[in-house]
Amino acid sequence: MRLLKRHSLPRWAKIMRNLFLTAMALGLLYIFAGAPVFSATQAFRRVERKNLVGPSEVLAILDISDECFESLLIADDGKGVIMFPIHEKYSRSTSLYYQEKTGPVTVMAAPTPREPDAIEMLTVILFDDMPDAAGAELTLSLSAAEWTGVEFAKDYTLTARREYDGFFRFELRHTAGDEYYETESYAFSELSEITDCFSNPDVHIPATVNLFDSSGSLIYEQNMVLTS
Amino acid sequence: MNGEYRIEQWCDTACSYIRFKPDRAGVKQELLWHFEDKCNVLTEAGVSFDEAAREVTADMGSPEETGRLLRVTHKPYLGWIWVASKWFLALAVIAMLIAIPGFHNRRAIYENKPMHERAYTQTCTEYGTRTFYTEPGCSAQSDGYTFTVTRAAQWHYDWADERDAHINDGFYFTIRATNLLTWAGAPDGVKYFYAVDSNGNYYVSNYNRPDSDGLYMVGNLESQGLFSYTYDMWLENYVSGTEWIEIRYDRSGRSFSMHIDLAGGESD
Repeated sequence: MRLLKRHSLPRWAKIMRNLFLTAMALGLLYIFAGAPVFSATQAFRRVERKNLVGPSEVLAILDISDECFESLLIADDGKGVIMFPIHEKYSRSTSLYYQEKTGPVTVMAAPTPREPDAIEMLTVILFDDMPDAAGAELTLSLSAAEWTGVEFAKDYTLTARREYDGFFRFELRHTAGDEYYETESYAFSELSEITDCFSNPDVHIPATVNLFDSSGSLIYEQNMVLTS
Repeated sequence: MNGEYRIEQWCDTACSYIRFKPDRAGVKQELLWHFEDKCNVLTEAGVSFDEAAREVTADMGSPEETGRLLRVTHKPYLGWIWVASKWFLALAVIAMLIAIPGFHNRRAIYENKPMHERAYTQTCTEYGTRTFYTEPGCSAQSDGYTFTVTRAAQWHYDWADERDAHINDGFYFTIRATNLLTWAGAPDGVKYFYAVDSNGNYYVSNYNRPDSDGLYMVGNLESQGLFSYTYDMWLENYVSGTEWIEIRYDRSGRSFSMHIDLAGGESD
């Protein structure tokens, strides 16, 4: 007895069906694989939404030469400023540091996962709403926490030229000498802890910001206290 | 040459012109059926099978010419695309199946029983008594998430150990965040939620609390599903005697609140 001929789909329809099912399977694969991100910006946008902030304008992605993460994304959503450390594996980039603006300038030190006594250099960002400012000077009065057992207090005056729209970048480095290296690191770590809100609430760091125009004339000055 | 062999030969010759080999078997079967139908007409009229086969093959014409026509109608590239699509589908399904255990393990991390489950399921323990329970269902939306307070309970504690007497009130609630995008992840913004009550008490978010002795709101992510994330929350140093509590978020230009009425629920 002859087998009944099955009315099968035309070949092109089978191809379309297979492609559709493949797309569905790949979509599920993406979800089951943890929905990996494929770029720093994609990772940032996802973490932005998770943190209920933004959408922000990405001002720059800085190479901060820190062995703990690859680079630092700097952003501004109008109400606050953001730092987003980017790891080599983008999926590990899950922490976002947000600080609300309280005036024309906002100072924020980059977070660092280094031990408090081993901070070699700290990136400090001065966010500003003054496009006419061509240069900036930031003075920070740092001191070590009581537990270091060493009396340490020092003013650091940092200068920077305008390289990026919306902010100035400073690098805070050791200047107190080798014998104070650990103590100075602790002082740096207190500044960095302000960025991480879930940290020591008793940190208060006096700071002075001066902004200059392209001719070097002072156009803005503000004394502030940096606190978490 | 017997009839069956003759027909087979004819079909094989015609099908040999089809460049996409997987198609040859199906086309050959079609041709054999066609031959069978034609032969049946003649054999039913009393012609022998071999004679019928000879007549039908002669009637069908040249197998080479038929083969050339088949070559034109059966394009190989469509066939190869079809084979490739089958392989892609198979590989995608296999990869998907391999990824499932890892997905399940990641989700399983947060399938613990909420720390304060007893606050909702029990009315009395050796340490205290539940004084109020409600399922407010109040919700708010932000950034693709929908936040809902699914349940809330108020407790009064009165117990003593050898050192001290402990008399205080506790307030616990569950927030469920849902997002249709399953890859959105648990919303970290919950850690910036804070609370106020009708008496003007302000419970800061745990992230912003100035000291451990003040009023503040604490919580943990307790479980997550494909589209939802459940937070076990409570108010630390809770002050009772309030008519309502509002869970609020106010950051980055966003502002929303969820109102929990402490009247009208189950008073225990």
